[in-house]
Amino acid sequence: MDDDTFARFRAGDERAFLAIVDRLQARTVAFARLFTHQRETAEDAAQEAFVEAWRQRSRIDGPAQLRPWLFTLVRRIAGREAARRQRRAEFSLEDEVLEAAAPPVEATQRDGLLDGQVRRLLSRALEALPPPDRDLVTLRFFGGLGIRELSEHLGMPMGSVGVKLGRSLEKLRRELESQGLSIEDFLP
Amino acid sequence: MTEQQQNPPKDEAMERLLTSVSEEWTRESAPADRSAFLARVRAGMTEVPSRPQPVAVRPRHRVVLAMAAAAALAAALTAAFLARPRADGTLLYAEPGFAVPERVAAGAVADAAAGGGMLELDARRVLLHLNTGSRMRVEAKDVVYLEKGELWTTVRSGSGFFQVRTPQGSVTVHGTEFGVAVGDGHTAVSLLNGSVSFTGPGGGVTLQPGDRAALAAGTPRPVAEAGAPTAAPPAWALAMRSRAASAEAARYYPSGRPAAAEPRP
Repeated sequence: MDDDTFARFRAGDERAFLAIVDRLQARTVAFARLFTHQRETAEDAAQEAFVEAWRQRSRIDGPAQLRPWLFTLVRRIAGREAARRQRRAEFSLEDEVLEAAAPPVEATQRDGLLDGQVRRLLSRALEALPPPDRDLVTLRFFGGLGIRELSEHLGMPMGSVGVKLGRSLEKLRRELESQGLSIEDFLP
Repeated sequence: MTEQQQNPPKDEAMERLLTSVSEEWTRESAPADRSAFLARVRAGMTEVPSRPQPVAVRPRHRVVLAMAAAAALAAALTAAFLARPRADGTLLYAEPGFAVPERVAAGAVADAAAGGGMLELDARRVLLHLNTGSRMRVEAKDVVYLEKGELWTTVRSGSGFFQVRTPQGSVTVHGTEFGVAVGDGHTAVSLLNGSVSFTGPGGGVTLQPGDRAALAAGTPRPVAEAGAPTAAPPAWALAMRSRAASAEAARYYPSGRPAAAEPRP
């Protein structure tokens, strides 16, 4: 995001903010959906986070802070919604369909990179990670944050972020492999 | 041992897998209607926050201040509630000539005599497209009366009751996407997803996806209509969505600059 758009957003320029929303909406809804597992609830969570970002814009110091701030809030809102839904003993139609549609994993299934089974295993492996590792991996790959943004967000040097990320990916690989998924078999 | 020495080797395969899955995930998760998403955010920006911001106070003052704040908030909300009719919906898009209050309350009339428009009702669960030449009244947050013209409706799946009334009968929704057209003495209904009950003075029918039915004035119940099954929203509703998206984009990019794709990290 360019500094000028961010500065106008900070100054209360509605049009600048809505341009930011337009640019980030797909990524933000996708990030929320990781936690809600439902598209509609994810859209609601993303909208709530954007509105909150507008209201609290004075607390966001610079362009590099916006996306980490936003995604952290999205995760909190989406997590709250997911917990509320769980308390109501509702179940996720998407999860249910995914389970039913997912074929068993086979080592030769090379065309299945994006199929439901790989996603399900990946989702399960992410959930099994310690929260700091899970946060780092989801912010980096699903939130699309760069190392510099993560460095500012976490308050640590960029080199240390790279080291931490490498360790988190190691854990994720071990989790996936313990579930019988060989990553190389699923790469295009 | 330094941090550099502990740095694990870069796992390119893992990164490629995550990148591929997240890209596909993001593409799939993009809101189907960008303009509606933006309009909802814009509507939220103008609303008063439901919770006051936390204020740092000394503990002994908290109870008194909380009671005072609660009383003030209750008074403000009551005054606001009494001062204006309850807002049941929001105008999302208006073509020139489309007349409706911007905050749509029960009793509001949407007059599309000269141009169509899009409205949301009932906490965003109902999306209405009203074609040019139509006239509709909002009876309640979950009931509209279509006097004439064409209405295409999307109701959030599993979200409960919604009804379109017409001079000849009514269409009750069970989570669906459907169209209602009121012509010269008859009402026609076409269903894309879900199911609806279409009822006349002497009984009704339940439509399944793809079905069409019509009810003529003076006849007791609707009858099935022959023809190709409904496979998509009508062209006029799709065109209206496209115009709404363009109009919404023009608000944020007045110079005509297209929305840039988010760069890869």
